[in-house]
Amino acid sequence: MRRLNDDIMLNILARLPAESFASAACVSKYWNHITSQILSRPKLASALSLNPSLLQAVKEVLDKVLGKPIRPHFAIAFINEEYGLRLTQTLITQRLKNKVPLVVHISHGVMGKDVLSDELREVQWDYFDYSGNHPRLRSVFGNSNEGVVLVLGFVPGLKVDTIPLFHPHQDPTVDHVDKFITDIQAFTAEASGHLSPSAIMMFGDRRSDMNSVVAKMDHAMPKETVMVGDAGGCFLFNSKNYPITTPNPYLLDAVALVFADDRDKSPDVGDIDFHLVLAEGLMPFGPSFEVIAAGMNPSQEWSVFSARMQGSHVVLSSNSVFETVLETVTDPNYELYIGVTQRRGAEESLIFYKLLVGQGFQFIVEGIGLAPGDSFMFYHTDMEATLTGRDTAYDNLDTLKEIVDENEYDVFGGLILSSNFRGRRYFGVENIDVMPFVENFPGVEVAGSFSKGEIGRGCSSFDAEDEEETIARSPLHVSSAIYFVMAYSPASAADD
Amino acid sequence: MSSSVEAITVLSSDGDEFKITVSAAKLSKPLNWMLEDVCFSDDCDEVPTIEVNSKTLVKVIEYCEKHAPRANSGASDSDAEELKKWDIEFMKMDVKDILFHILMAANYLHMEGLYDLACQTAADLMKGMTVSQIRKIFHIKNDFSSEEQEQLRRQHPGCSFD
Repeated sequence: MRRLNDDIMLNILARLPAESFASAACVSKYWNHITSQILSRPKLASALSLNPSLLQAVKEVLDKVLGKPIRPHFAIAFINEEYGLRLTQTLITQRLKNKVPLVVHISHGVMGKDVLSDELREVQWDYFDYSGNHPRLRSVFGNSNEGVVLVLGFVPGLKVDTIPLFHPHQDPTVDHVDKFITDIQAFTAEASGHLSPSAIMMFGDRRSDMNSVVAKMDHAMPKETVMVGDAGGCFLFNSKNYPITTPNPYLLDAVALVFADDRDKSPDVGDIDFHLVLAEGLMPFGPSFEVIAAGMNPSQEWSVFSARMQGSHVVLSSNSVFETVLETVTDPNYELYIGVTQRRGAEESLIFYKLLVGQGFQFIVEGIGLAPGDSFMFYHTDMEATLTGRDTAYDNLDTLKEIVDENEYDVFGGLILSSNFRGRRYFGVENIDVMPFVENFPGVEVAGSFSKGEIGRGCSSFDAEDEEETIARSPLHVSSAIYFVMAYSPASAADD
Repeated sequence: MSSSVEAITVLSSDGDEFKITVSAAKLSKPLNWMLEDVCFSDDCDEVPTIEVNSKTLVKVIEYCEKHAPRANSGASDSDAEELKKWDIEFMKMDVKDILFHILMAANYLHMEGLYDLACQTAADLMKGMTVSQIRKIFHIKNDFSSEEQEQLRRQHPGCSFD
């Protein structure tokens, strides 16, 4: 019998759903060769479902992302149901098998292409349970799912795995963040032979102090490592190599999905580059102040502090702050923050704290870590600043696109992490944050999530000049949108 | 072009003669060119040969005759529904004996519709099948060494081989 030619085989095998595609790759050497031609480039597949049954929703997104050839190297699911965390993890694990690094993360909303309408959607949950350990009662009755988005990635030339950050009371003698960083470095060293991961996606637990974790990571990781993530959710994960089961999600502070160069990658595989574009949404106001006294509540959720204007002895009163707010802030629903420049040893970080209340000469902020001597400014959310920030991000994505086109790179995917403060609730319309990506990279797979505390660190090559500035960097943002762009340069182009 | 020509005669690779109507032949670019050649030339003695065996050519012509009216005039949705059902019945055929040959013929004759249908049929045959089932359906020999086989199992943990 004559063998079908390459064109015909390519056409047939490219139509297979992922699971059959994997089987086809094992049929014979020739078929294997054809499948590797079909999946010669990295690929992102994502889908969103708003099916009120979580079971159905997860099935729908799995069917969609596995409907075409893909060999999943990692998976991320954003959901809204605390109750459904374990169920979602189980369902996805059953389909993908244990070996795929997976993070299931409860966020404040999802972005992605709806499996039913094929339209891009930005959906924020009506209700989010901040209270902590108690699953929402209404969940027990099912049909309370508000949405799921699933992202699968095929990234040849990279090794990917999840690495957890355990809560300190597991073993109080070890500095858990240091161990976390060492674990990430060990994984990277084994995979690549060097210590710089290409990218780290971080998912933090909302009950943990992610400010200090992220600041520490920011200083420990080399400048070229792009970091992105959501600091304030709740998650479960599977790991490829990390021998661990997670009996209780609340023992975990964070998990990192680490992307490291594969030192064994074949020469015909090109390079994957990650880029980050930030849309800021905060506006500073007033002069610089200095913390003069600070403390925190026993369960380490919030801090109380007093301050004075830098160079003055007059203690700052909350009245004067709120008078300024009345004069300055125009948003009807605004939030107030302090942006604190913290020096810890030789390292300097800009950390944002949400201002909860101010009375007399005391202020209370969410989170911990304030110390006397820290300098800070007040910030407020601002529509005009947010729209300007979005325009800047749009332009930066446009510049990135030009660079990508010029070099004949190929943008194959995007992940957007947007503050839950934004979205439809703030702008009044859907899709304000996905549009800058979609318009610059039409047709490119994109998904995302609404978060509380957007981790975004690392600059694209095009704004290298900005890096020269020695101002404190902030790896953990508020009221922002972060665009994580994945680009591929084929092997021939990468050789130059 | 002479309007009197309603059908042309072609030879299969086995040397058998087949008639194909002009409107049906228009579904294939190469056939259409042949048709024009035949109609414009004065001596129509020469019967063009199509490098497709008789068994396959019967099926190809059957497909063309069925799809020609719709392709040439456009049709209603109910026709399209009916045609879809017909396609499914039409594609119920032996993989090795006919489907492979249909794939090659449709590719060679540039028949987009039939090619797409045949590729999809071949792909659908693999859905939910284990590796060895696929080998059986498509009559393919396993040419991997046992070490390579082991490596494949590691690379594709979700695959069932037997």
